[in-house]
Amino acid sequence: MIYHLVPKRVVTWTLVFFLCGFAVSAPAGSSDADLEESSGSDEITQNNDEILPHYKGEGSFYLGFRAVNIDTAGRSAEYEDGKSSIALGLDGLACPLPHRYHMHLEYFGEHNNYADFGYAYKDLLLFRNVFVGIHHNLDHYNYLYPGDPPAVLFEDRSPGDENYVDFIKNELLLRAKAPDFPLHVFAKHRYVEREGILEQRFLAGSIGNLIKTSESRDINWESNDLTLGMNSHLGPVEVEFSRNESTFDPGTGSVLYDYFPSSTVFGRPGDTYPHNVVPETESSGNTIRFHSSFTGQIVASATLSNAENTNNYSGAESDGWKAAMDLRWIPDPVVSLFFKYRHQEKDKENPEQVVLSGLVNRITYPVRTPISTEKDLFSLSARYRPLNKLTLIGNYEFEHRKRTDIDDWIVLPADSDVHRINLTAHARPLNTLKLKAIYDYEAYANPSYNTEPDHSNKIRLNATYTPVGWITVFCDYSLRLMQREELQYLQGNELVLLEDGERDGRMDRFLGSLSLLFSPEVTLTASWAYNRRKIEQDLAYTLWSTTGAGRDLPYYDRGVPYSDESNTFILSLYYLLRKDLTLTADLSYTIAEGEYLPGDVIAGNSSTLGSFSAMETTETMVTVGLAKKILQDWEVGVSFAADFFEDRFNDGAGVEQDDEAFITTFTVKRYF
Amino acid sequence: MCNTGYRIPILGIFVFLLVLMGGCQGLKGSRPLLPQKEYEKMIVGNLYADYVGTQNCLAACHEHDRLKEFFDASTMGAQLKKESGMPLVDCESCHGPGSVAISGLTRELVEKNARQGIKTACDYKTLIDLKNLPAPAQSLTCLKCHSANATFNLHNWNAGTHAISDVSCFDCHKVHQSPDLKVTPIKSGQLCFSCHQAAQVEFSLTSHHPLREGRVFCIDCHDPHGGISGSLLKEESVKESCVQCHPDKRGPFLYEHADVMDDCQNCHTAHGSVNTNLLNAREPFLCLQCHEGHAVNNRAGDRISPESARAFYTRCTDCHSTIHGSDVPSASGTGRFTQ
Repeated sequence: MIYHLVPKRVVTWTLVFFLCGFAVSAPAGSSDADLEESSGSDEITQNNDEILPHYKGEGSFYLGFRAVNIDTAGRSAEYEDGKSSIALGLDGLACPLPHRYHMHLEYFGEHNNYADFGYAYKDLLLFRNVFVGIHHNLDHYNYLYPGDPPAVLFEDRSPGDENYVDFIKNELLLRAKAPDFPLHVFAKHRYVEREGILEQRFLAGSIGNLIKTSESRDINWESNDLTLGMNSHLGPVEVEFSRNESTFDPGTGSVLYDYFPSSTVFGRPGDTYPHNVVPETESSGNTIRFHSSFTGQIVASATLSNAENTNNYSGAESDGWKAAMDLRWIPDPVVSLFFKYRHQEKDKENPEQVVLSGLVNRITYPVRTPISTEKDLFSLSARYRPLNKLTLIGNYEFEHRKRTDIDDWIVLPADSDVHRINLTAHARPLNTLKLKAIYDYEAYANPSYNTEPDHSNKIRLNATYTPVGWITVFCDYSLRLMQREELQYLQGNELVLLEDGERDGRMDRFLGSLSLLFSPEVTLTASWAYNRRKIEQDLAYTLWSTTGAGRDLPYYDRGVPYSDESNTFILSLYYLLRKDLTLTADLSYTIAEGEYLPGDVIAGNSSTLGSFSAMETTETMVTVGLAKKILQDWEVGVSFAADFFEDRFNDGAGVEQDDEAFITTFTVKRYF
Repeated sequence: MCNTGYRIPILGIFVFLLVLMGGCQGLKGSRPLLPQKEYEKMIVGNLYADYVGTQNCLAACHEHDRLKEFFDASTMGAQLKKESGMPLVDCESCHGPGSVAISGLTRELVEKNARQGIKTACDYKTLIDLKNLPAPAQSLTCLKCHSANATFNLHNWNAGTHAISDVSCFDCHKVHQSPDLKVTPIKSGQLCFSCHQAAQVEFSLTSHHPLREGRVFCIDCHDPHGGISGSLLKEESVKESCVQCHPDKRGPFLYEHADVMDDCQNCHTAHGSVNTNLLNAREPFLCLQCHEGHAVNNRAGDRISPESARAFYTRCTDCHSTIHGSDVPSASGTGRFTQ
């Protein structure tokens, strides 16, 4: 079974296969004799008899050393494992027809690599394999105030542990075609592996003696996804059928156990119970797709698919199917109409009850019925090109969402409708000026969540101006405004839906850049990007009833502002100092700020809460590269990259973020 | 529950039987292409020109061009030979019939001029001006053949965002640039960002997928040829896209976060964020947008202390750590995502 292929083996054999391929296809350029033979005719005539063409293989290979110097495994080196390594690269393209090979390989360490191999034989066989490996440093949070208040303790069972994940993904495609007929069979396989140490946070203890807990968790997760399919023609209609199966295996340690003391509030006896389970899951599905010939005035396509998902730990299931239809009609070269329809159904099913098995006790709890959903989406677009330099596009979209089995959930509406209108204009008033203007309007009836607005308006303006050949100016600005009334909150355990409060949102985004092509040897680009997200929302907090059991209506903290803002400045230089000497340099500086200012919701000063969520960080990245050609086909290169991350707001978030990273790479490259 | 599980495979098998019974004749024929013909007529000026064959373009004048070398080694180059059994492809398949362009030229004249250092130009203006065609017409140039053969990834092209927005095949695929016309994953970012500059900036924010590190690629999530979900996603939904690399979040779980998890973008942003873990907003505001917060008073009616508030209104996921779904009931016997 392809399912159980060991990816390293796949990669190894693939590499061997390709190296052999490249070896047998040693540069085979057209010989003079070939050329003479192919141009033997004396006059220009209709003659299609050709010899099999040859292509001279080409590529490069480099070897070097990559020195990594990281102060801490903090934010600036989020994807670096901190280990220096040899640097190895291979780039090749060889076409000893009818065989064609390509290869791109980067190796910067055990957990930082990329490989892309491809092979084709005529149009009969196609093979492709893409492998990616990367290391990801994860934050290690601390709760800095254990025992303050006394009812909340903190226990870090693995203090000082560095948390990380080594990620591997391998994607393989194999496609075969019948000779002289467009019938294809194909197989696609994806393997994903995550191995490392996570920081598992969870709540231990019981009410009155809560223990925020952190411990290291070894993981070795694997996922396999296999798709088999066929594709062919049915007269003017093309049809494709595929079957997909995927599995997720959390490996050993998928269940954690801890002792939880008895809870008088919830009536659960003290025992060792499972928690933070990572379940094994399986899913499968079938897809059938049709489309008509693309060459007519009317083109139609349709997709029908189903999917079944199973959780092997709890028995939860989810089934669903989707249908999609596209229709394009070009009644006239300047007018096009596009219609889309999408339908999606997702049915979820849970066991009616779950048994929590402790070491001693077995407790049965009811499980509420999960929400099942249906979605329908209709979209109609029209494109009109009144002038060669002007294109107008209009789109109307209607989406209907329906939920069933929501009685236990209360807060979600049974039906939600969304209307969307989009108007776009592309214009080229001058040969040197390109403009784009977009207007989006959205209206929600019964929005699903508080984060969805009743109404939203968005404009976007985009211009590219090239006054002279060596200057290009680019500007892009967008603004989105959102309003929402009658926010919905669930009043704690009372299971009462409350409708009160408002929310306003504003998002601005600007991007400007100036590119200067001083000469073919010197290019300089300067860019500035600005992003702001600003929200004002009424937030609800539970209030215990002081006159009896239960709760009062919640306390509303009105108009709480929240914002994120960032400015990014980038400078890029390409400079061909001499014919054999190239300099590249990039500098980027990002400053990000954020605020959250709750009102007076607690005794004393609420700024404690605001300061926790306040944020001000800067990141400066510098990259300089120098490449010098030596001899005929050799090149030496050195590149230096530095990254400085500073968390300016010492907010007690419990994670160390400030750090610096320096990476220097030396390479010797040979072109062939 | 849906009962479509067995119906679709049966339908698939039925359709393929029809394909095999349908015969091969006529399936390779390129159907008339009205818009393309109109453009040919407009630009070439007439439809009296004849097809003269690749030899008279490549072999006569362009034989030493690197373009020829690249083209020959491409799939289309292989299709120059009738023996390929596929629709023939040559210069005129895209550039239009060339008899008018080479009218009056002979090989002797070309060679004689070459000896004198003169480059003999054909009347290329009578060919289709591909570079200046409207984007849909440029794409139709490719699609007229790619509809005759199987087109795996073009299924949703015609009503896709790129097709509607005047993006043509030429914008990404340089037919003459290399024998390998595919856009490699590692180069896809460079290509996409030439139009989507704003997305490139998002990846420069402090929390980002490792795209700028060259280990995640635009085409991991997006299919520029179109798809059935929005934003040109490769998979059928946002969640389906995310779980390709984050399969532990796929579920289903006994205790779901309502249907919030069906769209990961309810809490996360895909490209980059100023907040950790690609979050749309920082905790606790992220959660308080939809959820009523813990009690801010006690039974006696007094407000809680700042210390208590700090414990309960800072990082919600310290305690509610299985927020993506859980299979274990919390102490209350419900799904509070604490266990």
